[in-house]
Amino acid sequence: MAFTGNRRRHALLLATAMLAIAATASAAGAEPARPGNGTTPSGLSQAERAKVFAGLPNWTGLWNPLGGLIFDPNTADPKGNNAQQPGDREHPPYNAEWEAKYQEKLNRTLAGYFLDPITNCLPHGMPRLMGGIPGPLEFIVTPEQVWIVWEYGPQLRRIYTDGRGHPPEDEQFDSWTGHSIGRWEGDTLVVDTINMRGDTPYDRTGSPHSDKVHLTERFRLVAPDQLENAMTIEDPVAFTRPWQVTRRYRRLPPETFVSDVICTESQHSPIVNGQTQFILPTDPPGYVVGPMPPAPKK
Amino acid sequence: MRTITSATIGALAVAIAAGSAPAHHSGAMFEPEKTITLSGTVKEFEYTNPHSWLWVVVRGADGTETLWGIESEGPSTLLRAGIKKTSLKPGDHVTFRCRPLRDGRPAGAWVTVIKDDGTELSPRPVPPPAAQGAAPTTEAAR
Repeated sequence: MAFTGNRRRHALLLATAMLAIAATASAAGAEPARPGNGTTPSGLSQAERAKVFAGLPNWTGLWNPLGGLIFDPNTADPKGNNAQQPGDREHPPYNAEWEAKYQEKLNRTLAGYFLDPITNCLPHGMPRLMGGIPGPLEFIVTPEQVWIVWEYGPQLRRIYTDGRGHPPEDEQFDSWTGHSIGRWEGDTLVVDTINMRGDTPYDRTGSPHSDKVHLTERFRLVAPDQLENAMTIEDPVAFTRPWQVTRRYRRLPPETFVSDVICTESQHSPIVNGQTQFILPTDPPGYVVGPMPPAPKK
Repeated sequence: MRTITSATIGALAVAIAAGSAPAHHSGAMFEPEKTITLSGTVKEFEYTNPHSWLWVVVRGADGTETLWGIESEGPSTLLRAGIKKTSLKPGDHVTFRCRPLRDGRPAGAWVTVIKDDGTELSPRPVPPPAAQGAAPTTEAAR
């Protein structure tokens, strides 16, 4: 049944894409998208666009990440940790140099310092958004783009499914969400992301990645209300092999309330000189806390 | 609810502390496991992002008053947990449990607040027994 549905959708997408090419080929300078590659070119008529829409899976709504705030629950150490306590870590396939970098961050945290950039209200960055941020997140699936919107921030990630490629190298630059292009393989959305900033960790444990990180994601429904994201992360600078991380998101009831979470609205805890401050109205003027006492020994 | 047993409170504390995690900063400034219980009068409920704050005046045995701040999550997370901006008003008498700051200042991470009418306000509902000990979800961590 699923296969039938997939084939039907695939055929529909392909037919639509070909129609679109026929339509756009006559427009001056329009570059036709490759047919049958699971993408939908921009500029379709409303009627044609509606047909593509009808073939896309319905991921509408809010989703909560499962598995906690550590990016890779499978390699969490100690097992089941939520990336909150000093010393909590995971095990990306780092080479010796990058394992040492990670260890240095872990040691700083254990010594009472704390370096999560989001505490100073910077964005989470990618790939962290897919596994190191509290939910909910929201999917907006359209023929030409898929958007993922996080309540926290709010933050927006655009995935282009209009057939474009990544920009030429001399037009690339690193950003918080990077550059994502996607295509549909049946009901699976396959996404390729590059140009992610190298100064964002995977999660609060501080696990670093380089700016050469390359993310491939396969999103699909594995149950009516569970969406899976099977990630393959390549990092030629930091890793000895690709890192496979699978995360799932659970669909929330449609009436679930969502608003905005603006980090700077009432910021009591900026990081100053590498140390999270915790400012209380009862503190004397100019009061700055010193380093946090070292974490208790386990 | 006011006659809640210490054993119940202990179980509650473990259940909540295990999954408790502020969204925007680490929980490292708070005692990881220790919780304390205090009573006082609400001065203000700051219903703000990225964290909400409940300010409570606590009177000590010697009559001195201390302003305690307990930190929770932002409005939308609280509202999803049924905690409205009108849930706590200045003058309300409350008993609250928090994980105190490790540096000794009068503030902590909100675990639960119990009003005189028995209403209990927890940003994260206590998970059912079957879910305890399971891998944390951000649903619990938010």
